[in-house]
Amino acid sequence: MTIKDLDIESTTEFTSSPKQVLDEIKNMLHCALSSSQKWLASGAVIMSLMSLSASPESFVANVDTPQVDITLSSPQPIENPTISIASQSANQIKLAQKLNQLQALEKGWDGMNALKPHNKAIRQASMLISQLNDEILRFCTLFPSNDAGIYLQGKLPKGRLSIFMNGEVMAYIVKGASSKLSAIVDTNPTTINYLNQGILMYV
Amino acid sequence: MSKRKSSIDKSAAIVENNEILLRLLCSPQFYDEQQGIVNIDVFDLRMLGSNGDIPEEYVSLGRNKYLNSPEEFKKYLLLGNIIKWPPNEPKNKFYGHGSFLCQDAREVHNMIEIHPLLKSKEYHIGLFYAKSENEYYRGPLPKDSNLEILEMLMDLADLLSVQKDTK
Repeated sequence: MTIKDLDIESTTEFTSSPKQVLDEIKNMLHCALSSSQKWLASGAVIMSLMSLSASPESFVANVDTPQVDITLSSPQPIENPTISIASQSANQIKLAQKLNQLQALEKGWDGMNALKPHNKAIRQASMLISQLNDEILRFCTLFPSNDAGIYLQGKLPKGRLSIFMNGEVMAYIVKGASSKLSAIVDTNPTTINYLNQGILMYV
Repeated sequence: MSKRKSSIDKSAAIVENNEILLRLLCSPQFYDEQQGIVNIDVFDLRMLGSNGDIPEEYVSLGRNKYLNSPEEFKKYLLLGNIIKWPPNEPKNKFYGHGSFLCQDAREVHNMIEIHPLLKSKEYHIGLFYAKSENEYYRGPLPKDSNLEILEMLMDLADLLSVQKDTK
């Protein structure tokens, strides 16, 4: 479903007041999001609504532009919304599938008493693979840890990567022949962006 | 962490640096065949016991020099087959083993010690992580707060030459 599908490209049906245009669009989106696929709404739409509130005039200009195409996601039900990724590359899809497999693991997956991966760690890993550069992800895989965390590990052309996620923080090491980067950080867009820049030096 | 009596048999002969050591990979989750990457959790210390309430003190290893006949080697690998898997995970079975040199592992970090074990069959030894004198880490290791440990596990996993033995 896209904004185009909601038929809001044309401004002819709207009144001339930006505030009224804004209310009209919000109402249409609300109707769409109140349907059974409400949970499919992507973060992009939420961000758009936030920006609407901040600056309705600028949004009206965007609505007039035929290129507006904010993807809400597929209307098809997905098994696990916590690990869906909005615009997936082949590598992201592969890792998302692996993450699904890890989420399905039972306690004792190592033949002993390894814990089932924690949902928080699964969501953390989902966020990471949705934002890491595809040139990095192509060399990576995901693994469970015995204490309910998730590892992202990679064999890069110029080094090796290990990221451990416990559901709260991520500890990472990128190690080359003569240099390394390492830190323990929160998982958010800023730290992932920094991580992207650092890891790309080893690709 | 409290001090406690270690499982190390100090009267037994030390493990030679040029010995080839083996680590059972008791789950397909320990190795990605497509990428050729070993899960660094292979060298983490786990929780053992029927309720998972006993922290592991050492990583169990095999000594290749005592497993030099096919029968003995097969017997060692069969240890991976006696593990009880969750009943709803039929594909989750013994995977294989990895081998590495004792010296290479010891050179990864000075906290790594490899010792014979008390009351153990001679092919069975343990890889310990020293925290201080006469004190060892017990599992799981603090990977989320100690980057040195995360790096050590990464370097150890890189030593493994993996061979698949899935039934």
